[in-house]
Amino acid sequence: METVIRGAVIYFVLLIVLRLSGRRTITQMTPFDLVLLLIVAETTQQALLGNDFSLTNAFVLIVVLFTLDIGLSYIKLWFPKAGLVMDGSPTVLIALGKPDYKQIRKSRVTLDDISVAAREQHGLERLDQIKFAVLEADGDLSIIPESSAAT
Amino acid sequence: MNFQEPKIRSDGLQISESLAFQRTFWRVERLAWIGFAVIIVAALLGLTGSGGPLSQGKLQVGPADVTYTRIVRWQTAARLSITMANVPPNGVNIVLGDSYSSGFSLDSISPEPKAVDLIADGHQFQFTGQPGTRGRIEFDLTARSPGRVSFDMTVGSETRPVTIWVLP
Repeated sequence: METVIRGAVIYFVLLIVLRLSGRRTITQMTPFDLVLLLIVAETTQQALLGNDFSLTNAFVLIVVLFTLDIGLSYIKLWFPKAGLVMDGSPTVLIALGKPDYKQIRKSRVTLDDISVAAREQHGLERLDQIKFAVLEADGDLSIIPESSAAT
Repeated sequence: MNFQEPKIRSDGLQISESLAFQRTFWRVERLAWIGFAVIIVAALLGLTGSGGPLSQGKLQVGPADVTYTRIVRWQTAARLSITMANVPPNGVNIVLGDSYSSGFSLDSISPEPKAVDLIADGHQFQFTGQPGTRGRIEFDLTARSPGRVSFDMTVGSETRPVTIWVLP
C-alpha cells in the first residue's frame, strides 16, 4: 500500500511543482536546468523507494507511475479543460511581425530565445523576418517566417 | 473526446490558445512562487523537521529541563534530552506514558537505566547518579508512523504532556 501512496504522491507533487515553476522552454535546457533535473531525480528516487530496494517495490512503483500517466492522458482526452490546466496553452509571442512584449515577459522568454529558434528552424537572420512566434504548451518555440505565407 | 478544430484568429493563425486561462495561470503561478518562498522560510524555521528553532520543544518537568524534537520526520531519529542541575540523592525515575511506545521505537538510552519497569501508565526508567552533580539523560527514538504522538512524561513527581508531530 505504501508503495502506491508514495508513487502517487511524488508523481502529483512533481507534476504540480514543475507546472507551477513555469518552466516553459524545456527544450532549451541550460547547464543549470540539467543540474536541477539531476538533483530532483536523485531526491525523488530516495522518496519513492524509501528503505525498500526490493524488486517487488520497484515493480509496483513502475506499474503505479505508468498507470497514473495513462490515466492522466485519458482525463486530458475526455476533459479538455483538465488538459489545459495540466499542459497549459500555447502563447503567441509575435503576431504578424509584432512582438507582444507583455506575453514575452510573462512567459520568461527573451527575444534572444526567439531569434535562436528562428535561426535553428528556418535560418532566419533577423527578428523582422518572423511572422509568428508561438511558445507551445510543451515548451517548444515555433517560428513561422514572413515568407511562408507566399510559398 | 475533443476533436474540434482550433479556432482561426483575426491575424490568420489557427491555434487553440486560451489567453484568459493563460493570464489566470500566470497569476496562480506567481502566487505559487510566493508559496514556494513560504515553504522555504517554514523549513528554515524548523516547521518541516530536521533542525531549526521551532523544531525543538522545551519543558520544565519537576527538577528537569526537558528538550525534545517537537517536529520530526517519519523513520528519522527524534531525541528526548532530560537535564538536571542536581541529581537527587535517590536517583531519578522517569516515566514515559504508554502512547510513546506506539508512536516511537526506542533506539537507545544514554546512560543506560538501572532498571526498566512496566507500570500501569507506561514504562518507568530508573536512573542513579552521584547526588548533587549535573545529570543528562538522552532517549533516542525513531518515529513509527506519521501523525501526532502525545504522551505523558513524569520526572520525579511531576507529570507533563509531550506532543511530537511526525511528518510523512
